[in-house]
Amino acid sequence: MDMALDDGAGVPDAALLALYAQGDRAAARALTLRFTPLALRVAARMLGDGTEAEDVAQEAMLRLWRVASDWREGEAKVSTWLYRVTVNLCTDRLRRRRPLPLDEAGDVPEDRPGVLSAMIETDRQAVVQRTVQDALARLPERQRQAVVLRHLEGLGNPEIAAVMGIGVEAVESLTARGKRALAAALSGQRDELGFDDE
Amino acid sequence: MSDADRMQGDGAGDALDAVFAAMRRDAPDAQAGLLARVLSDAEDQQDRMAEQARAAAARVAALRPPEGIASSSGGGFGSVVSGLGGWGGLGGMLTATVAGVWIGLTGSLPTITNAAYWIAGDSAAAVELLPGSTDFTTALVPEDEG
Repeated sequence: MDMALDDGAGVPDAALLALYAQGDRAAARALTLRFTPLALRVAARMLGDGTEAEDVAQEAMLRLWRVASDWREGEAKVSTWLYRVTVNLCTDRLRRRRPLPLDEAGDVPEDRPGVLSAMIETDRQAVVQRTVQDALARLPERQRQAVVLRHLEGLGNPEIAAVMGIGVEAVESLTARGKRALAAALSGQRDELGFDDE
Repeated sequence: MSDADRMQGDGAGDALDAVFAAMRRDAPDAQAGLLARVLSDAEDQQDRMAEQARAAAARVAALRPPEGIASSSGGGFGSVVSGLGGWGGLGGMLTATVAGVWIGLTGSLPTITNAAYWIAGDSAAAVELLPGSTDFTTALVPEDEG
């Protein structure tokens, strides 16, 4: 097997995992490169905190290393399994946090002049993204999971259903509600900031 | 049409879709430090698995009685026991044997309680039977004697 490329391009996930379980160091590197970003992205969007997200990503990958020798090909996609583990680890973290009053959640400056100067001085797109990320953080957890997996990870509803352990209709309901809430938050922010139409 | 009007219905959804696309594009990258820690964990786990495999192979080899021991003078059984690594090793072998019979009879791994029941005395170490493991010998943890 040619493992010259660090990311093991072209080698299926389960095959890489089997190689890893046999002690193949190149497979360890390839899997690290291939899957750590997935775990980090999801954790970052679910937790809104970079350091915690890195901890969760490392923990999720640790569980992958430990399950590797027991992995049975064909039972699930490695990515689906990792999404599920990451989401569950984020849930654990969120439950351990003290609940914050809604208007203190997230990093967004509360005073309107602060927001306006942020708009003027920085990339407007970054402000908009921050708005949506903060609104994401305010969503009920299950809606947030569904929206992250659907709209930020691009998973199909059946796969999201498998990750979250719910039915496809429930996924559709959660993503619709979550997206409506985010759209409302974005709409409200744009009105407040008086964005010119482009 | 005002901004507020544009943000109604599909307009709001379109704007949000655009933000989602930007967020996907600007997703946080896994930095080198995180990747290094993850890879380190991966290699540590590989080292652990290799060590467990080596230890299991050694225990399997130890269960085989050395040639000629049983025919030596006097307490043949005592010689067999010492050849098998003392009572600790014998306990392990009995565990394996009994478990083998158990598996044959019931088709499932014995529980910790059942396996320990069959060991004479209290030389049985805490036996961790790995769920789903097909290599039973990896579950034997012989107690250090003396």
